Amino acid sequence: MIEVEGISKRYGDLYAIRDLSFSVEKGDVVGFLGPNGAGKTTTMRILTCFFPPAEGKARVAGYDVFDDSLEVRRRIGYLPENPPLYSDMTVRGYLRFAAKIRDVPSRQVTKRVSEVMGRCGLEKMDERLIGHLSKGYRQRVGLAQALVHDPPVLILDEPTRGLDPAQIIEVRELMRSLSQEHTIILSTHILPEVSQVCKSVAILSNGRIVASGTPENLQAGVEAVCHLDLQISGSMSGAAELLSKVSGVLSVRTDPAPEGAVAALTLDYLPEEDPRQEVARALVNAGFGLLEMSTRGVSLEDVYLRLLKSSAGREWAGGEPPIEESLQSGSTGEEAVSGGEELPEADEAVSGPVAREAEVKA
Amino acid sequence: MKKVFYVWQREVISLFTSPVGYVAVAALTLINSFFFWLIAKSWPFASMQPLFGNMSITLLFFAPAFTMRQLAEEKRSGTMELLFTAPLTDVQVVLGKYLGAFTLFLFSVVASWIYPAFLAIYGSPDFGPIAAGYLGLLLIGGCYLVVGLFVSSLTKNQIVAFIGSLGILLVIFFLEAAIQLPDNWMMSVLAYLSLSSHFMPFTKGLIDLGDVVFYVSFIAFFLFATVRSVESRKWR
Ligand SMILES: Nc1ncnc2c1ncn2[C@@H]1O[C@H](COP(=O)(O)OP(=O)(O)O)[C@@H](O)[C@H]1O
Ligand SMILES: [Mg+2]
Repeated sequence: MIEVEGISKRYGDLYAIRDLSFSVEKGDVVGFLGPNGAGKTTTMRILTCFFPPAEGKARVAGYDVFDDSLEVRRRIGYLPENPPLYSDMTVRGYLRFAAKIRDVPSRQVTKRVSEVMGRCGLEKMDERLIGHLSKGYRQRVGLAQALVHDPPVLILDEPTRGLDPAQIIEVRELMRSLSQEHTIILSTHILPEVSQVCKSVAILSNGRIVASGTPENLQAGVEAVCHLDLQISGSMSGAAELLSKVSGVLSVRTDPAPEGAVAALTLDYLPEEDPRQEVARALVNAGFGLLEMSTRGVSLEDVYLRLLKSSAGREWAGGEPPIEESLQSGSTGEEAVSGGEELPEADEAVSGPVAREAEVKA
Repeated sequence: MKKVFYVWQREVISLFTSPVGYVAVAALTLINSFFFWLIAKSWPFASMQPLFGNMSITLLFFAPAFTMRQLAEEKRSGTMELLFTAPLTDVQVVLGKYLGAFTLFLFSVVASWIYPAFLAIYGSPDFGPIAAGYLGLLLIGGCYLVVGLFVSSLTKNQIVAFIGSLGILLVIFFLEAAIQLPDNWMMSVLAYLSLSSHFMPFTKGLIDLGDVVFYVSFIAFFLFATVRSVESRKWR
């Protein structure tokens, strides 16, 4: 449905995007993930024919964005980063205008506008001035505008930005329902959003795609080490020592401030040498109480941070905000592991703090 | 053509729902009425000739207010992205906007028909020169608006658009003064390019094809320049 071959766009001397290539199949929901300034908006503006690429080719539904720009535009619904709303128009008046300039036949304009207002929950707002709407409703009008001509392709630039958590969930629900009939590209810098809504992800940094694939594949790519969370009763120092000797365990960490006699530990292990049975047996044999044991994979956030770290150093130094700062954890918080958590090296096993902490406990 | 109509329609709705349109038309009419009253007191003939001269200057100050929002505000608020990603050509957008501003201007012209009406009640004016004067006013007003639209395409800031177009218009309007400088070909070219030098004949009832062609080409040139200016987003 969308094919992009080696597109670039420059502002002055700075490449906003550089030699970008990707393709999106019909019915896919693709997420562009990247910090501010990564080039998400620029890429979307090229696909929506706002401006052409300086180099390279981009095609939507078989039409070139430069040579057959009007054909591409007819097939795309676009929600820019700031919803393009005329504050002096009513919701209905605005959507009628959007429908007419998008080639909706005159006889169907009224019907389409009512349909799309229903879909976006705007029925009660139809005669309101857009300038008087709240941020959440403005975003809905922006979405309605992108849907009014029932385009096969939807391009949504940070559709949940600036919304409160309840509104974010609503918009995600809407996107999920839209993904049945539309090919969607959306951009975001919120991680959980991608794995919730998108079938595949492209991670952008400094105008390049540094990784792409399904969220699962991206996670698997760096999933060299798995984590095992344990809760046990008994002496912590003894347990840490014991467990570090179990074959397959790379390292043992104790989590700070365990409650009472319950201790929490995290083990790292290689997936091909699953030590879970051994761990359980060793603990029980040594007289510890095993209260809880659960595995934890690498989150998408780990992948994201690592890729950005490794790409930021290589390319343009400066000009970019620190990645951690511009990375916003999702407000719903599912899946979000504390940012920046690095996988520990094996040689940190049973190091000083573990022993010291255990002594204090005992 | 239908697309131009849609853009025009939205533009007119917006010009008439914001106070700017009403205030500008009302203030323009107020000032013109004041001049009409002054002239009627001192000028013994039932003629619009001196008032047309005044109107061409008052309009010069108001036309930038009609156009300052037109493209600058679209850029600032981001609605530009709606227009230029919809299946519209840049020419359709620019034409729709221009005709929108022209429609507001037409309202102020129609409001000024009270003056010839007064003349007809209290005297017997010759309607030939009045019709010619109105034609001239539409043409020179069209030039003001197109300059305003062009400058509005260069900035995101309405105030900058207003001041910028006012400055440019004042210079182009008074280029005629160059004719008083020592005579050489450059001075005559400058004087020819002056908006005011082509206007006087209309107020006297003389419709010179050369003047009409001048104004029409002026408008066409700046419309073209405006299209190029909005297109420039593609190459920057
Ligand atoms: N109009 C512009 N003029 C100059 N630089 C720009 C402009 N728009 C974007 N950029 C630069 O291009 C890069 C990519 O921006 P953008 O595509 O907006 O990123 P994102 O949407 O991922 O935050 C940034 O470094 C930004 O500063
Ligand atoms: Mg952006």
